[in-house]
Amino acid sequence: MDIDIDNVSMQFGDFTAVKQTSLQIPAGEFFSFLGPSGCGKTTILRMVSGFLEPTEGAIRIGGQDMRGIGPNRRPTALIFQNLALFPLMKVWENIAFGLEVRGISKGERRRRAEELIDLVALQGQGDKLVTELSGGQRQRVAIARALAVEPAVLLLDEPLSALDLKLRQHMRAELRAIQKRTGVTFIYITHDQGEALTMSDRIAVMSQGVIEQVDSGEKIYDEPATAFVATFVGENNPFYGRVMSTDGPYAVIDSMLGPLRGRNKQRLIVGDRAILFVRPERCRLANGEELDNVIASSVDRIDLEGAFRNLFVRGEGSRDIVVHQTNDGMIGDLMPGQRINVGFDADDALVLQESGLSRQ
Amino acid sequence: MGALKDFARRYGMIMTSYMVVACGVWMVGMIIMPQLLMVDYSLQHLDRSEESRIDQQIEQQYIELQRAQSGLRGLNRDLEAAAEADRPAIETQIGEREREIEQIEGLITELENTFVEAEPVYSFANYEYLFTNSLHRAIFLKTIWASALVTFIALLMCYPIAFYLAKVAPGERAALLMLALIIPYWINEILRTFAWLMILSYNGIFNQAFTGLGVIEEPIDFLNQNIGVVIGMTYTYILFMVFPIYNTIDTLDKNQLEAARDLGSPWWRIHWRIVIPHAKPGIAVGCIMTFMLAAGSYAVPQILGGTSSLWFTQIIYNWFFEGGDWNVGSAYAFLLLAICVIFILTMMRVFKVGLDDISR
Ligand SMILES: Nc1ncnc2c1ncn2[C@@H]1O[C@H](COP(=O)(O)OP(=O)(O)OP(=O)(O)O)[C@@H](O)[C@H]1O
Ligand SMILES: [Mg+2]
Repeated sequence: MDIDIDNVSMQFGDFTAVKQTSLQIPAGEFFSFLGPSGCGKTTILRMVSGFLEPTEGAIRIGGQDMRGIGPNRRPTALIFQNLALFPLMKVWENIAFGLEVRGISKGERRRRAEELIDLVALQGQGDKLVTELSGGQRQRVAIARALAVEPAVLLLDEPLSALDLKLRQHMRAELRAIQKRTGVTFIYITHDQGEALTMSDRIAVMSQGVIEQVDSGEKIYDEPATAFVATFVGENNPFYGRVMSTDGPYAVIDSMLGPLRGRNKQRLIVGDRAILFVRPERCRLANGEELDNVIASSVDRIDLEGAFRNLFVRGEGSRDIVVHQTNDGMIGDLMPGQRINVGFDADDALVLQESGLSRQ
Repeated sequence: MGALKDFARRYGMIMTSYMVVACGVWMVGMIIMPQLLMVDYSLQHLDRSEESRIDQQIEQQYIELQRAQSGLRGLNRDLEAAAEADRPAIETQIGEREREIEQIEGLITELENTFVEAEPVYSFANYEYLFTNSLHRAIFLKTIWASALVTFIALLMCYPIAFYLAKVAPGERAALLMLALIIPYWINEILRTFAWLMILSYNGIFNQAFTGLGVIEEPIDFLNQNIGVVIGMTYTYILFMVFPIYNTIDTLDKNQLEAARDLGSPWWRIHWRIVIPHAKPGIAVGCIMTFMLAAGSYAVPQILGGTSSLWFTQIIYNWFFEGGDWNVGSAYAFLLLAICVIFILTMMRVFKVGLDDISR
């Protein structure tokens, strides 16, 4: 079922946790909300699931206005940030709780629970207590429990945040697979961009109660719509300044390191405060190459990570610029203090308005 | 032993031995010895047959004495009325009587001074006495079921209060309510009970108000029908039920309630499947405390019980301080204790909680 979040605001006293947000999520999509802690992600999810009524606007699921419909009567199932499994029940009873509520006979419940146990690959664990399971297994019990009620929409509130890295990566793939298999709409909350980028069809990046951008993962990464998205998602080298001139799709800013040229997606005009962003992997050493922007600098530090290395270079009076180099056997030796030129193409850089973003 | 070593390591030998000795003295002197003494008392049956035989003899002699004295009075009258010639004969008779009286009086003092030590015999006679005395037996049984009733009513009343305090009321109101619950307990139990006496007595506030309003035609005799005792006790011990339940419900993760609701559960099933199972140890502790306090209460039935509604504790009191038979009193007290222990074990069985759950 489609979800339509129509100009929704949520206020707690004087504090506005979510500001006039509109968003459509088509059925069957894996949709993620990505944002820093406290930006209002959980609040949106609780409004969709019915635990909070928006102070303004409407939420429609499958075209039906959900106002006044309690969480127990919505076609949604929520997986809580802390899972909220029932510790006194066995695994299968947890999974079958939603069916028990619907008055389904015990035999049938057990059968359906076993099906779901298969789906989330927990064979043979049905009669254990949830407290006897590992973190990843509990995770899957929570998913199975939510899927048992056959929701049209599954809402997941940072369900992987408590797991270790390895398990988290494994569960990402598993979640994605479960979503594909069931065709249920997933709305996924995370503050981990890797999670959002690997799993989602589309991502909404939020900041302070406002959605900054809704797009596919590639778009979010390659074409951040705002300075916040550019800084929050992935690494980015920021250069602060004012727009000096514009020509067609490009703009030039007067950074501390001299004029720098990048794409002017937001159509800024001369005099606007702006930040030019360039990704570390788009920066190169300028060895006589033709590059739109070249910065004379010296090597500060080199972090070798194996498959790649991060070069921290410093221009005249500037902070570190990170250059990400793939270890392809031809990157050569560099010494700290060595003077080099780094540069990037104007097409690889984005000039975005500096708004509400504190200078770091 | 490991725990002891641990303790010794942390606090040193002197402190540890002091603790061990203090605990030992406390256990032996304050708990084990008095209990053993009571059990010992209760098993000693005083055989009073010799004593009562002597009592009978004394009574007999008093009757003889009266008979002799009235004979003497008759002779004295005869003497006054008699002619001079008859007097010596009568005087000898009088002398005989006086000797007889002296003899009887001597015998009486002798009998009264024979002090028979009632020889205690070890037997279960003191316990059997409860089962042969139908009045005491009835009061014993009534005390048990009335205490159970008090416990049950208190549970019905306190569970919703505890749940409201722990999970529904916003912080500030919960604190206020808690205060409202506790403040009455700053007043002495006896005064609190007297307040109920004023409300419930035959000419009390309740009866006056409701006969005045025409709701009831005749005043209700609460006090002589045990109702007063049950009401008074429920009120007196309500806190002992509220707090254990409140404490356990307070530890329940609110997300579990929301998860159950999100899965479609109506409120009663949330309580039945989630809250009550979680609160079981608290409910068990609350029931145990309330039952023990009710069964062992003396002041409340003394004040709120009418003349025809005795509590078992009052019978025990009478044995000790009015009947003067500490042995039967001990046996009765021990039986009451035994019933309480049985109640505790039953509760633990019913609620499937262990000692560790309770002492948590
Ligand atoms: N019931 C409430 N009353 C008052 N303020 C609230 C309430 N719930 C949330 N907030 C506030 O709303 C803001 C957004 O909260 P929310 O829980 O949605 O954050 P979040 O994005 O989920 O953060 P996190 O990643 O840490 O879970 C926070 O500043 C929070 O303090
Ligand atoms: Mg959250």
